[in-house]
Amino acid sequence: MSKATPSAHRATRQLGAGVGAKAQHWGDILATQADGFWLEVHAENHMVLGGPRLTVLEAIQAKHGLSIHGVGLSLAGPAPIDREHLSKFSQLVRRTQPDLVSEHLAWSVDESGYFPDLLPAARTPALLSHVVSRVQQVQEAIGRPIAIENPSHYTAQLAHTLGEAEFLNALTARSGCTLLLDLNNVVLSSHNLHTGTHNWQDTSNWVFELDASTVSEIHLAGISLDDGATNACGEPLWIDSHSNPVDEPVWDLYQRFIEHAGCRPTLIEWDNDVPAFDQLWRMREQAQLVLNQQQVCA
Amino acid sequence: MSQQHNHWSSAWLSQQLRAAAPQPDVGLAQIYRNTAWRGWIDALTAQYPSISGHMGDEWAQAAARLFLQQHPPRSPVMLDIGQAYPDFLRTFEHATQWPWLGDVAQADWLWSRAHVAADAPVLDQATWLGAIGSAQTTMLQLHPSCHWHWCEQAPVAQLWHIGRARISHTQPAWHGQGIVFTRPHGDVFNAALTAQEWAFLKACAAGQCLSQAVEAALVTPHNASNPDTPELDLSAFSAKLLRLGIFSNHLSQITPHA
Repeated sequence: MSKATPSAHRATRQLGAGVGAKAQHWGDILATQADGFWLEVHAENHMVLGGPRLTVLEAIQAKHGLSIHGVGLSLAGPAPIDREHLSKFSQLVRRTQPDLVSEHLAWSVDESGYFPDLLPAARTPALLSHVVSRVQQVQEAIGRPIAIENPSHYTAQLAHTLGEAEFLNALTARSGCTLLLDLNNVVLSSHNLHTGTHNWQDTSNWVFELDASTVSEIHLAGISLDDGATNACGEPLWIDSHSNPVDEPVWDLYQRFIEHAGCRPTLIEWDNDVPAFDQLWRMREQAQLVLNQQQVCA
Repeated sequence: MSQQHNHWSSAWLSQQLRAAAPQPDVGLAQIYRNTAWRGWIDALTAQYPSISGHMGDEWAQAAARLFLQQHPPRSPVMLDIGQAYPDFLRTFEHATQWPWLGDVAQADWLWSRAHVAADAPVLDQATWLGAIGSAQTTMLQLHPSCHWHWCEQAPVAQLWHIGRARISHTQPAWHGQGIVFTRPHGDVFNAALTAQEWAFLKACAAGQCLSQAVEAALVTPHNASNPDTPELDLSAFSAKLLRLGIFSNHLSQITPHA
């Protein structure tokens, strides 16, 4: 198994800040003129034989950048990768030649079926080898590297034996993949797992231990509060709901990471209780401003 | 300790998520349980909007939960989940007063099949006129998006429309009816079918030539399911077929036996 190498996919345009594509925003999206603007779609929503779900991707690409973001390959899962699903994923990527392609460090499929969630797995050397192998399988199918997104954490009960930066650095080095650094996942995990012994926001600083050259994309999103579960300090858990504006600690970490690593394509995710396009656009502009202030662009 | 070892394994978490009710040791796995069930139910009710339209959101969500417990989705493509839901509703103990509910759900399923079907050029007028000229040797090919359903006992097209549009206080005329979905370009079209129109489409799908399909339609009693249905008007039916994009623009010729 060899590492995937960059292939003859669409020449990467200079991507700035983008937003998740929502059907209710199509009119605004197609009317928008902005350098570096791009949109992310979930791959599984466009795995069709024909029709408007494919033509809309062509319309996006005529004006903006496009990212295909998979949620169903279950890269950290116990069941073999579903060959039919991988084939559909590969067909979509090869057909659209998007600017970015990504998936998750999570699992969602076992022998009894599919879960519409990104489920956690303990970071161990065995999981690392498992995921490296599966990432390589995906990269060979699509003919290009893929970006892998770090997960959100809600429990300290998983038996991790590898640190998060340690695991992700090894994953990129061994598989040739890149990282989709979800800073909201980083910050909410710090909040959910902290025990009150020190400033919880400092525990997000593991992102500066990553090989910054492998970070190809950043996600920003808003959280909601769980109405039942709490962390060790009795505070409501933060849920990765993508249903609110990006929180200040996430903006702060984003600013510091961009200063550290340089510009990276950045996405504002908002998937539930989606606001009017204007509100989404204002957040996109806030992220773009951070990027514009940097001199070094990837 | 062995129990602690299994905690948060994929097998343990899977069991927590699939259980009909939260298990005593669910703990923080409840967070994933909430997301998974919301995702499943939202996807299934989105696939079947007419059921929510007829029965209300609360009923539809409860029925979806019961269905999903018996039929756990296997595909990550949410557009493809729930194919067995119409059959589930046909025998659902809480839907016995609405025996047509499964037929309405079937129409929703076929709408989504038309929505995701492959693209193909639709039959144009010139090709259609050519087919009529050689009706005894020409087979029409259904457009990939063309899907239909016939219901002998209920006006499925009217009921589907009422549910889809959430129209209340409407009493449809009660008779057998079919519904057809097509997507000649971007949007999915729908139209009601009479028994004769349904017979015509069935014959075409079975590979019969155009003249045989017309004959199949004409020998079908036009008013068997609905006394008010007039005899098939071939000219108006031709216009309907072309307008809906029922056929692709590819004709097949039957080779006469020597």
